[in-house]
Amino acid sequence: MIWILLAACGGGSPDTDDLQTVRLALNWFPEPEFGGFYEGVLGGHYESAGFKVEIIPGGPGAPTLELLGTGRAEAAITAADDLLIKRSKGIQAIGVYPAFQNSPQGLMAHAVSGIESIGDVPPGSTIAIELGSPFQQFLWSTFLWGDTVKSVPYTGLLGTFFTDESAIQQAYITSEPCLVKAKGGTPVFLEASSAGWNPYGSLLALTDPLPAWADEFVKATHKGWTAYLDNPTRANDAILKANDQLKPDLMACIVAAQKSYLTGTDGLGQMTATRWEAMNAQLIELGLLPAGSASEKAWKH
Amino acid sequence: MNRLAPWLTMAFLLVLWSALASQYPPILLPSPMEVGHAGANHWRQIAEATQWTAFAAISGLVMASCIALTLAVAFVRYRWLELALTPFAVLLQTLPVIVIAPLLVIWLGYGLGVSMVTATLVCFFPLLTSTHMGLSATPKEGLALFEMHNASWWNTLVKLRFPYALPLIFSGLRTAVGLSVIGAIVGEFVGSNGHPASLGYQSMRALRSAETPLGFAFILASAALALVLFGLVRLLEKKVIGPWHSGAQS
Repeated sequence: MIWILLAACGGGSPDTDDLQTVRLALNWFPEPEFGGFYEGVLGGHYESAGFKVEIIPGGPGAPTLELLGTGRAEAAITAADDLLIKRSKGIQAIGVYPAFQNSPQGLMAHAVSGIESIGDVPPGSTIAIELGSPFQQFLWSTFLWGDTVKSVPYTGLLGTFFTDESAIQQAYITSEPCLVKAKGGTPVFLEASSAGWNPYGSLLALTDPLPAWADEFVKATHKGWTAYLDNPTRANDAILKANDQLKPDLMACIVAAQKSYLTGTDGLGQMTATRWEAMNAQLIELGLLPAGSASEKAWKH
Repeated sequence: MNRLAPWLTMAFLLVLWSALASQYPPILLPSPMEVGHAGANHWRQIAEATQWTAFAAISGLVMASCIALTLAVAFVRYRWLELALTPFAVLLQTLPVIVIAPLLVIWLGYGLGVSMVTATLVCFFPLLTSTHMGLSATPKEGLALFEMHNASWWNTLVKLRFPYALPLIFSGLRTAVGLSVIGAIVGEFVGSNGHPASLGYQSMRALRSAETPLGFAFILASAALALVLFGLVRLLEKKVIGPWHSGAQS
């Protein structure tokens, strides 16, 4: 306990080598959606490129870009929509590497409901969702649900979902559907990406202007993710140790579910101006970015 | 019979809980048995988490006590200071800690710092008001006696005002000690990323992972921690003022 207190007070041992220290702030608990970053550390990809990476786990509402802005982290994980919005509020950050080509966001319903995509959500439904989030605003604006579909706050707990076969709620492909399956349910995941909402996910962001080591860090990150897709065992074992709520079967479900979202159609780690500009335009249309906002300086490939 | 009363109440509540739980799946309402089972299987995690939360709660209580005592003494000495700061003390009490906690993460980073500050924030006001009231409630006769003997302000504070204030200070402490655990857990809900894995973090993780019985076990550990800390304050109260204050005998 005393040792950890000392570490928390900044009493850690000083660097004795020439490695560039990078504190990487995750926006969620250690889970397979960050597998490539863990593999980057465990496989020595970061170290051989000159980096000593310290992974800082997050949780609900993890203020990763704010931690980047206040100098408490050198690298942060976020999503493209969040990055564009926070940049417009003055946080100097640039997206440099997307782990998820297709957004892991979506909705979750019961398979018996017959709903297969977000467009199938019938009038009279109630959706548990983070109220006011860009995704929620996109849904109501795009599908013109108005008052015909009701929104209630999502608390992060799955109790309601299990008791009501007509329940619909927000979900991440890397989380809720696998949890429900593990408890014996048969959920159906309704992708946000195929409904027109597709911000790059688990997006690595660095400070703006970019540090001199940015290119090398991105290359090492890509090597980590490539190695993770090739063989995720080592990183997954480390994630299991770092997150005692994950069980091996749940882990296997998440790893299988996230694979196609990581690579998408453009391939692992790719970013295009078209995708960024589309996201930017959607956020302007939703009133979440001022008119005339541009995306070209928000990312670098 | 009087000694049995709390145990009988507990037995009744457990039976009622079991009866209700039999109507629902464990993910919604686990039975006492299921919670006990989950608790027994994870006792190391629960013990470790309780230790961290206890540390944050006690630190918050101690910090709040120090600040409240210092301010209350200053208020008694300098009336203008009381007039200047009281509105802000009230303002501090009305701040929604749950909203401030994410900001604390940005300013302090993850870890115990956030929960120590939230525990301090929620404990501070009841401690300040009770200590200030206590220090101001000295009988006039006593003050006149000390004045007649030309006692210094400091001597009057230490030998007269403070002993007279103790019952009210302990009353504030009894309120604050329960709040300190709640304050720490609120901070841990948003300010902990698992390092350390405290009660707020662990209960939130378990509930979000649909491990409701385990979540309940962590919640019960929080309640047990608050009870133990409350008991310690009562014990201290009896030791300090028990012999000559009837209020501490009950």
